This record gives sequence, structure tokens and C-alpha cells, in this order.
Amino acid sequence: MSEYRSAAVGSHSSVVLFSAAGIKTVSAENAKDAEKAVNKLVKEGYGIIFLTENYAKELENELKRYRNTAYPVILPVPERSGPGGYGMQKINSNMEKAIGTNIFDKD
Amino acid sequence: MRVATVNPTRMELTKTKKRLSTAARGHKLLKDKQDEMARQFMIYIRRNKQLREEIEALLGDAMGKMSLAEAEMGKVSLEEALMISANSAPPECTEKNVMSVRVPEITAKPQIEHGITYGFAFTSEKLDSAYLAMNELMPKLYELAAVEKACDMLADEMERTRRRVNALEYIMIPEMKATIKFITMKLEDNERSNTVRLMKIKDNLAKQA
Repeated sequence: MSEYRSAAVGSHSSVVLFSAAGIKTVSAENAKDAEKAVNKLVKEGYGIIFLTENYAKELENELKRYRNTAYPVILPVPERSGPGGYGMQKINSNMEKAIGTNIFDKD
Repeated sequence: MRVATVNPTRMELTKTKKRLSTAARGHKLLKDKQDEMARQFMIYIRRNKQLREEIEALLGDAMGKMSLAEAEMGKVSLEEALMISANSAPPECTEKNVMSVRVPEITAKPQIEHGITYGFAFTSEKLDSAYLAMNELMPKLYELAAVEKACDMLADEMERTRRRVNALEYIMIPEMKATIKFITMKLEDNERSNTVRLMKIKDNLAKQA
């Protein structure tokens, strides 16, 4: 029904790739900038925000308030230096929260 | 088990019994909800894991190419080349109801084949492959965004449901059962003392006569 625009927030070298897909990118050099950028984007009506893992991890508590509504969706994406494991860790913690134990094989 | 402080009256007994049956029904319903949610959650979380693994590999690849391109072309001309990007159709964003949790659903619109939208004269061929890889990746990224959010929301809801089920199962229902027992015993006791009193009075009257 509705269309949300998407944006990517992170260090310059990590988000430049997103501009290739026609997505608005915001460079942030530290977690505080990233937080400001995310809040601003949400206010401006961006519904999908790709945030690099290192900032997503640092801002975990600040981003909790976006957790219980369908939009905005904030997706941690691996940064330039490769996946830091935060995304996988998030899957496992969701699993533990929901089921009470992690039933995926530890690999 | 703790007994709620109530007056041991018949009215209180009926009320508590009614509450107990409601609680028992609620408990059963919540338990069913929990089961179904676990099933749905498993579907989502599997997809989530699978997509994330894929994307972490592919995105890392594309990012590597992109930094090579940046190294070759320089930051400014790279940004310039990507300034006019035609593939910016926003994805279709809807909500889906999964066990009364409204989760997002995002479907990327089919991209119109623009090919590459910048000139080849001043750009590196590394940029081309990064650009194409990224555009291929976008639908998956959108799907991952939706699926991961759905997992977040379902996990929260499942935790809440589990707490409710446990509160009903281990606190509310035993407490009500204990209250019912307490009231019934109190009432029976009253009944007995009443009978005894009547018998005593009857004895006394018989002696007087």
C-alpha cells in the first residue's frame, strides 16, 4: 500500500555501495552521528534503514524503541571489513528469547 | 499456596469458580497460541538465517569490489558516477498479520532494466560489477529486512505470551483453586457447627421437658 523510502547509514566506505542501488546514504563516523542520522531519517519518513553492524551493536538500546512497530525496519548489514557476527548473534538471541533455547546447531 | 483474602461466603465461592473456569480457558487458548507462534517463528527464523548467510557473503563481495573501484577512481568521481542512479523505485511496503502481530512485508518492485546508468569513460570496470551485484542483491536485502523485523517482533510477543501462560499456570490458577478449597471447607465447617448446635438445643429441650 504505502511506499517507504530506504536509506543506509554507516561509515562512508560501507555505505557507498548502497548508493549504487539508488538508496540515499548518510555517512556517519561514530555511533552518536549514526543515532542522530537514524532518528532524523525516521522522522523524515524513511521506513527501511540499513545500518552497519558496528553502529547497530553500539546503538542496541537506543534502537529498541523501533522494535515493536512494523515500520521503520532497521536492518544491521555487514560493514566494509566483513560481517562482524552481530547479525547472526541477533538471530540466536531472538531464538533464545522465543523458544527458550537455541536449537540451531552451533557452527 | 497462598489463599486470596476473601470472605468465605457462597457468593464468593461462585465468583471464584467462575473466574477459575475463565482462567483455565484463557490458559488453554494462550497455550495454543504459543504453539502456533512457535511454528510460524521457526519458519521465519530459518529464512532469516538462510538469507543472512547469503547476504553476508554476497554483500562482502560487492563491498570489496566497490572499494577497489573507489581506490582506482577516487572518492569524488565515484560519487559523481553514482549520483544519477535510475534504479531507485521504492519497494512495496505492506503489513502482514501473523498471530495478531503486525509484521512488515516488503517486496521489491521488479526493476526496470536500465543497465548501467553512468558513462564508461571515467569509471573503473570494478564499479560495473559492484553496481550490478548490488542491484541484484537488493530484493534479498529487502526481504531480509522484513523477515528479520518479523522475527524481532514475534520473539517479543512469544516472550510475553510465555510469561502470561506461566503466570496463569503457576500463580493464578493454583491460587484460585486454593481459595475455592478454603471457602468450601469453611462453609462445611459452619454447616457442621450449625448441626451440632441444633442437636445440643434439642437435647436441652428434651431434658427440660
